[in-house]
Amino acid sequence: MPLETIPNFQIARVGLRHKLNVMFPRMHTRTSRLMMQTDISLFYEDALRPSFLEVFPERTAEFPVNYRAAVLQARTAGGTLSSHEVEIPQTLVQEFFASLRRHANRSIPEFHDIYFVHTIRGVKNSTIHNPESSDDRIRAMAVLLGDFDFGQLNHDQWWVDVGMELSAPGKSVQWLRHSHRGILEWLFPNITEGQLHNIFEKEERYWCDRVATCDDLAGFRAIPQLSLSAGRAIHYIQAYPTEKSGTYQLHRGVWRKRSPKCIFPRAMVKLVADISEFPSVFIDNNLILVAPSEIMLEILHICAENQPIPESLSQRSNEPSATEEDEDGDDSDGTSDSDRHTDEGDSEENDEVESARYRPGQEGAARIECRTTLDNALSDFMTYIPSWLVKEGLKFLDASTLW
Amino acid sequence: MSSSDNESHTWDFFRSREISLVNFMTILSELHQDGIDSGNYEPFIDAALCSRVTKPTSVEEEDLPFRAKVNVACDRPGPYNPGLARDFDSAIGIVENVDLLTAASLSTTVNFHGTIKSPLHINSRAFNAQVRPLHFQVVSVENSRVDRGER
Repeated sequence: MPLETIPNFQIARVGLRHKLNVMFPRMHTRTSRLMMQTDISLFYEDALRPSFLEVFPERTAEFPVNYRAAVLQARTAGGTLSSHEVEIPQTLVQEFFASLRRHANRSIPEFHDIYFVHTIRGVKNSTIHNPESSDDRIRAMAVLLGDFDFGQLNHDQWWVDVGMELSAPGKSVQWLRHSHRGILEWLFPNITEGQLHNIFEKEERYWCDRVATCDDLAGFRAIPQLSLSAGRAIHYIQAYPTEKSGTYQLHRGVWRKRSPKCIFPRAMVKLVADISEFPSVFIDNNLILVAPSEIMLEILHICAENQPIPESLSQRSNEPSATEEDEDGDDSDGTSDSDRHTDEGDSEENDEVESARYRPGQEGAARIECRTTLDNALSDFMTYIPSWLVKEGLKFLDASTLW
Repeated sequence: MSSSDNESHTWDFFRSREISLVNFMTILSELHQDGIDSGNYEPFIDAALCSRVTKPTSVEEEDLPFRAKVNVACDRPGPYNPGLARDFDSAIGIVENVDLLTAASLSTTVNFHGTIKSPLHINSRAFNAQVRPLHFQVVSVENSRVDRGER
């Protein structure tokens, strides 16, 4: 069963990037993977609290008497739940979770045979290593799995995302679409034509991610679902350019996807204000804005001529006088964008600005990540890049060209 | 189809021409500058949003208009030797026994933000055993235990 379909919840965390979920495999027939409050309440009182009291009999007061009491304790005045945690010292972690399994197995059948899933998010650049050195690979893995006794881990129980990044100074390195097939053949040395066909033909196993609506430049995601006969155990593959990292957000922020209603008159004020912030990502030497935000601003301006021109447009024009005009209160006189630029390039200073306008704003690498077994990650898997892939599968663009 | 309809669809009959990404960006830059100088941004927007090149530029002065079809293969390849970096991004472990070298923080309430909901692309064991549906009733008396109902 796919892991995410099994009812579960986060039971503990270790630091900020390591979370521990408890899985209930005997509840997987439920329609929702989320646990019902009644289930959680019973698990709390039948397994969680008893195991805590068994291991820490002197800490009874720390653990609320039942789940209702725990929720009441964690609830804020605004109705949300704050995180209420109790510490399990390192020396008793193993004993506590063993006790938890024991108590769960004594409870109702739905709680039998629970197990745990560690999810560890890596810290960017903390595990970069020399691919060709096996010692270096082991050292880097020990950093990622620093919460464990690395020598005692059962390698069959662990999966790791191995990443490889190809970069060139001043370049935005992109995957070419026609390289996808070759990449799969490189990753799976024994893959057959039929298996390749199955991956590319099934929508739920292969997604092509075009860059800037350009057909030729594209990363991809794939779920190979291949047996070991294909050469390697790889569960998930993702190839993408990293040049978007400057605008990537996990939360709903200024780079979020916008809906058509955002260009209604009142909403547009906020949209224009947000877009005027975009250039900060692409500014070079505090002078330069590059194409994407300019295009959007120009279009917005033309769509709504009555909108005041954002200050950033004046900034984009790099006219020293623009600020003075704003200060004089001339900004709202309906002066068009073009009027503001008519004298551009007249001075030496403006000539320099003009030549620098489209200087690089965002470089990027081509990155590929494979979710594979721990043994694979420690092996010589993805430790080199085939020369044909560099010559035929990658595109090295000047960052200024792309943007 | 009326004549006005014909006119509104004129764009769709532009012939295509393959150009390199570098040339396409040069066209955009020049049309953008032209928009700044003249106040007419329509050629720039046509090119930026619809690949319709209607004004002469240093890249293409004749045979206008046309629909630019960007083909990155037209760009000259460079003799690049990219830098290679390998790293481990994240890890997933499925275990029965939890053994750590550090302390753990145990949650006393469930925060559903931490529930595994999105695909991890890893399969794990589950049981097809038919389990009778649960019939729980939470008794709303302070400090009470949950009644297991009919079970």
